[in-house]
Amino acid sequence: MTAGTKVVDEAILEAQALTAGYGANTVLHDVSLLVPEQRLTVLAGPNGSGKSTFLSLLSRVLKPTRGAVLLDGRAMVALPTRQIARSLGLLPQAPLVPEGISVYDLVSRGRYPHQGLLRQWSDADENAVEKALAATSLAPLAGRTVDSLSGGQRQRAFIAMTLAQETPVILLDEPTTFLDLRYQNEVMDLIGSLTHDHGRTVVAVLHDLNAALQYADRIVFLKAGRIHTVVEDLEACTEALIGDVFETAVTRLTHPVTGKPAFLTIPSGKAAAV
Amino acid sequence: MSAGTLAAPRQSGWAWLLPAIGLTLLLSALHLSTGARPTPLPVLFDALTTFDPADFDQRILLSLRLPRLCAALLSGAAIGLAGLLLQSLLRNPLAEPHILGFNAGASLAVVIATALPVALQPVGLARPLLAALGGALVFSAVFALSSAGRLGLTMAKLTFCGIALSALASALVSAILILDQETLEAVRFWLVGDLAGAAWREVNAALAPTALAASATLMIAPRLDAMALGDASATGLGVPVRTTRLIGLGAAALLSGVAVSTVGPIGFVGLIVPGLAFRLAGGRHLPALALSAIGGATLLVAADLVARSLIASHEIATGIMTALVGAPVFLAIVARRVK
Amino acid sequence: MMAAAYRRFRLGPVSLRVNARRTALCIALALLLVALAFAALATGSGEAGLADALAFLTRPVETGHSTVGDLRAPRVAMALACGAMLGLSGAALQTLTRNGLADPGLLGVREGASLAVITLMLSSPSAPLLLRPFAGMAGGLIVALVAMVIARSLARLRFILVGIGLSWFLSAVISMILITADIDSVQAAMVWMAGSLSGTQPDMLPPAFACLFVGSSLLVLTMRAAEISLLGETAAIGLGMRVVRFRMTAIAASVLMTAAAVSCAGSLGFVGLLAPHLSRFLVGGGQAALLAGSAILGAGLVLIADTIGRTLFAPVQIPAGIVLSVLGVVLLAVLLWQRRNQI
Repeated sequence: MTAGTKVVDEAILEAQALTAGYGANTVLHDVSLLVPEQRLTVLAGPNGSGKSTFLSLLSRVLKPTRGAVLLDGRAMVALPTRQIARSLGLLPQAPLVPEGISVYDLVSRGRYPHQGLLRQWSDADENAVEKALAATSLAPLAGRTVDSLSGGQRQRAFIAMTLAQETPVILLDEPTTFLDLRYQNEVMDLIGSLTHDHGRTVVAVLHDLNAALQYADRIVFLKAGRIHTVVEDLEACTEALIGDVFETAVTRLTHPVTGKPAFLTIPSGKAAAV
Repeated sequence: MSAGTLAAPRQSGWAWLLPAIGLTLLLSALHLSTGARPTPLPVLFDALTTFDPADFDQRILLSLRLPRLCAALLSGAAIGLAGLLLQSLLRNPLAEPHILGFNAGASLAVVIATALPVALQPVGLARPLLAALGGALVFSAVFALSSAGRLGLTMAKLTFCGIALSALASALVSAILILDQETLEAVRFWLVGDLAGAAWREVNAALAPTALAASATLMIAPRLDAMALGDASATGLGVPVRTTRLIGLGAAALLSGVAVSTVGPIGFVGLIVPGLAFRLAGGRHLPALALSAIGGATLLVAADLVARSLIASHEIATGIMTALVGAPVFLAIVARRVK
Repeated sequence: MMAAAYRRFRLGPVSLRVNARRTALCIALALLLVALAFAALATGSGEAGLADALAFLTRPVETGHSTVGDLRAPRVAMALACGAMLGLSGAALQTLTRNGLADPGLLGVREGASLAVITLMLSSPSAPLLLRPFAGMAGGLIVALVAMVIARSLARLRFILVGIGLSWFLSAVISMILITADIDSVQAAMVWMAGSLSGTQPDMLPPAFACLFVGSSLLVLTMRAAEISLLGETAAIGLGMRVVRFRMTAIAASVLMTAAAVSCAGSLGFVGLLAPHLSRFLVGGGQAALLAGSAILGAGLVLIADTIGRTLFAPVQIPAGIVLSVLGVVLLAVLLWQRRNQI
């Protein structure tokens, strides 16, 4: 089940035997996972494998029908949602942009879990926002409206909002799926830096397998609602493994610049030639 | 595909025609015999076959109830046709003359016309035509407003704009009525959809425009089947989409204008009937249009019948009746078909 | 630097971030409203003018019974209260449904409140006026609940369309009641229904302002949650917002204030729709500015409409509701055109 995994004895986020679904459909069956600290864990798999559902469970947006999600050893269902929000940040797939909001204001929304009716804006808030803007290189754009930004800049603004929340754990749901190729790179670089430069624990659902391979410390392959394989050593990603998960023939290459593995699909007529 | 398979759906639509006509005749007979002086059927036959001017019962029939019945039949058919045209052309199950602003615009036109000094008031044919014009103008505004923008015409925008502009037209009507007591007296009952004021004069005025609109509808009926597949597909099939839509909307405006000027603004008949007719007709427009017209006529006669007899001493306006039944139907459609 | 437009305000445990320009704008609008109110007190079909208005304001006890004191002052006060309530309701609803075309009147709340009050008026004509706001609020709440149950979702278009259907149905029921009831009670009911402030009794002012206070407090308490809700439900949950609690509070406040306004002044349309948009246009900003702006502009709209209604065609009084609708023609068309890309 797991290939090349280091033993993780203590995790900030843990899924225990999760079973969940929507209505009568069960989407996830008995999924357990330990999320190691300060690493980028990627959830990968074909459509319908349950990766987004899994992320929703981890972020408490969805409640499991069986099993539990533990945050710092405590069951999430027992914790007040605001307290969770101080430890766990979430960037959903298609967040809405409030009309006419400036970048600065959007990023400051991330301070919500730390604020109260009276204590609406403290020094800590201001520092957090400025640090987040610096980390995402958005400081010069702080006064612009989010509507006027490019796709990549907009996504960076939302990541900055999640950064400003100052949570040790950050969950990202398909952060690059709707972006142009050039923006995908800049956003993935930023996500990669979240662990190394900012010491956060990141779990991301990525649709693009090769991007996952470039940046992830750990990849969790999901198929048909179950964990297929957990990979920490990228050498363990073989053609057989990927082919089995995605149900298509693939060929493995080594990226000429980074040295990490990459996979290409094989058009059906050419399979015999490989 | 064998001839048998092709023949089967074509039959099912038209097969409903006879029962529908039968139902209409039955209800019409009921309608004629109900009232403050209940008239038994034999008297009805006599009145229609051998008219005796001295007979009081027969006079009531011919000068009060028959025109009312004819108004109901004609307007109901017009509304049914208009409703189907709109739902088909706009591909919106919520489209009907009342919601889209035709009724409000027509009412406004009629109220303005009534408020004019007697010398300028339109008579005869001019009234339904004016009403149709008013309805067309308001609807054009609705259509234009809801087509604007990046997303173009959506079900939501159309319904919204229709409701908003209808509300505004109604407010203008209220403003005029508050300022002009006479006009208020003249239109007070008509405004809620009341058939009591329908006389032969109105019915006669309505005949020609209805015939015109019905012929136009008949002409574009075959194209509607293709248009239901979408503008792009229809154009690919050689259907002149824009012209057809224009003719269809024009016909709908004319039909609803006629209905409003004859019996006042009546809502929801155009919402309930077309959907049902379309399903009974198996998805083909020609039989659906026929059924919709007959269905609309039947429904309006039935509604009028109930409105007159429901509460012993009072006549409820038919428009109120159709709203009481129609609004829940609207709710059911929304709950099921709007995401 | 980036926060240049904001000033920090700290006093003890309270630390706020305030936008200087917008605060100044809101204060200016409020002052303008006060001036308008004064002008309204001084205008009218009677002979009372500026001097009388001044006299009433400075020496209210002495000038006790006068045109200004007895007729105009309660009317102006009620216009302000109802207008503010309707503006706030509209702002709350538009934020909640994320739909700029939402208006509390679309929910059937007005008809629900009207039906409740009419039933009260017809069944016990001698019942104290003070019961009306309560009856109205109960009626409005019931309708909102039914709409929520049928629509099963608040943030979608379906909710608004269900509200529209309910309002049609209830209108028909109201018409039916009016037809079958006896003519004198109907007369009174119809006058009230047209949205007229002409029947304002001073007794109605305390409950109206109480509702305004309660409603606006609820909205102020959920102000920040409202801003977060604009990011979408998932993002809001991720930020630790209690979504259900926020929605219930916003709906309750919106419905209660609309129903209270309807119960006191009849059906005043378009205020809930237009005031928030005007506020966004003139002041902009987040939820705090929106609430303040909507309240002030809503009050102003109703006040202007009522004053026009009672002076333009004097001695005929046009109900404020009608004037508002006519004013609404232009404003709404501009609005729909401007927002054509959003909805």
